[in-house]
Amino acid sequence: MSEGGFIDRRSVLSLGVGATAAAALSASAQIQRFRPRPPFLWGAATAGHQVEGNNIAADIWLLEQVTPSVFAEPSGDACDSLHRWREDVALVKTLGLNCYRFSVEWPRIEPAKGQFSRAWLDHYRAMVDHCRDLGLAPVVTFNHFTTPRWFAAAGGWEQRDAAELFARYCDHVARAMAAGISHALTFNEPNLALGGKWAEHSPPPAFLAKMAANVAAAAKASGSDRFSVLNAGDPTPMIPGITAAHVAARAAIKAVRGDLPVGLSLAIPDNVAVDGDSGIERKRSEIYGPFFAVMDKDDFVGVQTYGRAFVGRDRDVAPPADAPKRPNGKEWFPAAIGNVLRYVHKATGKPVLVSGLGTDADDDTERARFIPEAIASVEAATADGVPVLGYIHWSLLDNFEWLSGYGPKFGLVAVDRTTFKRTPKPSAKVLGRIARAGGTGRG
Amino acid sequence: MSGRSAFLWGAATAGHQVEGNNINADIWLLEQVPDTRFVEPSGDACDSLHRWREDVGIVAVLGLNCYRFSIEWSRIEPASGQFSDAWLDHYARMAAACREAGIAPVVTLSHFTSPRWFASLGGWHNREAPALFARFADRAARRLAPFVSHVVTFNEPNLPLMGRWSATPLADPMRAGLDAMLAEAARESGSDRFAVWVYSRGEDAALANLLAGHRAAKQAWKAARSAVAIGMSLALPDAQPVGDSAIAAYRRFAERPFFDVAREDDFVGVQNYGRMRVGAKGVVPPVADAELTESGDEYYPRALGAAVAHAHEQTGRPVLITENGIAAADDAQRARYIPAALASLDDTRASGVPVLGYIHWSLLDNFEWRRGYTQHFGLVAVDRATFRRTPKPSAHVYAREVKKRQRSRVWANIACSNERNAK
Repeated sequence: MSEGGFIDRRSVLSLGVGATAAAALSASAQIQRFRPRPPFLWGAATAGHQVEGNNIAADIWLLEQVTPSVFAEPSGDACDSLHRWREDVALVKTLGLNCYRFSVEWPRIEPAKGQFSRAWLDHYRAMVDHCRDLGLAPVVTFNHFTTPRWFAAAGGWEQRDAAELFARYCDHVARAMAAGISHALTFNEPNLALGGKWAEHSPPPAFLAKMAANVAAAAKASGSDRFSVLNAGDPTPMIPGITAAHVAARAAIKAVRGDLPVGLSLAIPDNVAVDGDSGIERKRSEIYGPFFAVMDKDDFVGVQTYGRAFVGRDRDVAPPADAPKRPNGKEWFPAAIGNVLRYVHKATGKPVLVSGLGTDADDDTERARFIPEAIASVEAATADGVPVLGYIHWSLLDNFEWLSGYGPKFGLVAVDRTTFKRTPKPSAKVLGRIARAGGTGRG
Repeated sequence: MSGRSAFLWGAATAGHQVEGNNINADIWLLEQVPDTRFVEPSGDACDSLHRWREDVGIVAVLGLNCYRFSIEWSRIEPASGQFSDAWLDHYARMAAACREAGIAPVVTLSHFTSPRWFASLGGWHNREAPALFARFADRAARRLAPFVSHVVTFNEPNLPLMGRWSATPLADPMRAGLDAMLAEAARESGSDRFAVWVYSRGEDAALANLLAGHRAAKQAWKAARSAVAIGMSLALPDAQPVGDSAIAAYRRFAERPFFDVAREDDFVGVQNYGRMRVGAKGVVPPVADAELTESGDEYYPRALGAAVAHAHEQTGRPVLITENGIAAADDAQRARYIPAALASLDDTRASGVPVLGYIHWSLLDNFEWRRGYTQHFGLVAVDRATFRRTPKPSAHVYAREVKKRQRSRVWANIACSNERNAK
């Protein structure tokens, strides 16, 4: 009998707990040399606020509604996944994937401070259980941008007990469903806002003023003098609250189920130093550093990549003039993810999970070309020794893309905005074929 | 309506009281403010938001042919003018599931709650209120009219007026407490006019708007499907004069404006929970040795027949009993109550009053507004942690009483003659 049969993914990952990054790397590398790998996750992702609809207790729902609002349109019914989530899970299964990433909505689970909803916990647990019943690994995000209105009205991540409040919520979620979860992500792209000051083009002052007015209107509508939302204001004072919340949340989840892999996902482009005086290391230490610093006890790093950035001295610069372009003018570089996986693994020593990767293409043939290229670059990173746990495509559905509303089309599946009917696009079949085959076959 | 409609034997719930997490409703906010006058928040209620199929299943298992529930305006129109197809679909699924089970869905459009945004605009004090309510009613009608049997526009809109006749309608501390709670909700909504009808003083201008809203909603539903029967439900205790009684003043405030409108309707909805003895200056409390219910009210089941007769006599319309029941900690009291109340109804029907149906309040033990979960009106108990439903003995008593009447030739004949009277 091979020893390998007794070692599942969880125990492999748990060996890294408490070890230094380097030790974790060497331990997991050794084990992976001798034992069968856990099944590679082939997944598709959604997030509660973007697909459920009517997430009215959320801070961002309020930002969409007040005047002025920087949101192009309100989220409304979104994809009505609140009622149609079984269809979504069935789609994932039908496409040939083995993993569904979704988020649980803190505003629903704790609609008023300290008042937890057994009904909504049951709802999300039913989603987790249903995934398991169909043989899908549920990857669950505990915070995908939205927080409860009461939390934002009390100062959001800047309030003194933000970490404890988030950890208490995570404890309730973990008690309700940790047993069925495959991988837990505490936060989705908490570093996104920090990237703003490195962006090639700073947001125009008029936009920033409107966003400030938007938050002020939400504050007024809440009778609050400290309404605070990440991604809608200066993130600097919020980051310490979030990193502390991650640490507390991880402990809370691990206390319920020690062998549940926990991480967070970061938005990281393929940073490329431009010749000469690049600030690339400064950029990385500013935008990823605060999170890497608190992920020492994480089991993996979620990586979300939407292209490449050419890093100049103080900010990103335009891609080379001869770089291939997408129809929307951005650079066509689907292989960005492979480089990011190499970087993140090297910087953290952790296994990596592609937790969100995709492209906002109106023309689905562009997505159909993108997917094999991106996955091939993941395979190349794997071949170089980077432990990659899975590839999760953003997104399963065309959905509410925050400020841009329903404009951008990231979905493998189209959603009729009136009937909510789901229609898989050709690109979904491309991904499904690769998943069923276990890879692109290019390696 | 074609042919003879069966007498409706039903049980009732209301969205906010059973669904749970109705967070966009004005009353949800009132439960949450620091100076709330609710003993506890509604929370998950009975989680009927997810478990409504179980509820419909229980109605069917009890052998009833009618389920009254409400649709929540604050879900269907979470922001002014933004309608949710998702929630309209949800309620359409409920109504369709009732039909498939042979159950007539009686739907209430407004059961005390309004959207927060509506309350923030001044509730029924807002001049635009009738048009806003009509717009909601229209959207609901377009989606639900094919399934719905009867529509109740408002649940007990006369409640705030039941004390208007009296010099001391509400004890001062009670009124002050409600006002403080409403003021906090206003502040938390960034509004200077937050108003909730059921906790208001029943002001004349707001009442006029509400009644205009009723008429406009009726018009919208009739336009969608003229065969849907429409009315409103009134809180109608069996008012009895005591001594030098001010009962005429009571009726002038709490009944007449509503009866005047109900005369134009397809039916008048009667909600009765006993009698009210009206003295010269106020309500006369029950006598010392009177049997009381869990809510501290007098146990007086025969009030039902008298209230039904009065509503018909005042309006000339057929009566639909949209609520009747008692809060009973001991279910045996409810088991005694139901046959007694129905016997008084039998007498009233036998005297020729047209009655369309009897709907018991409530199917489930639920969130009884300011009294939270302390009042047990349900035919079915609900575990507050697991939401498990367990029918009580009184549910079976009710089922037996219904079956007895459905099988009786006498009652079939009366139903026929009532049907004629109603035309």
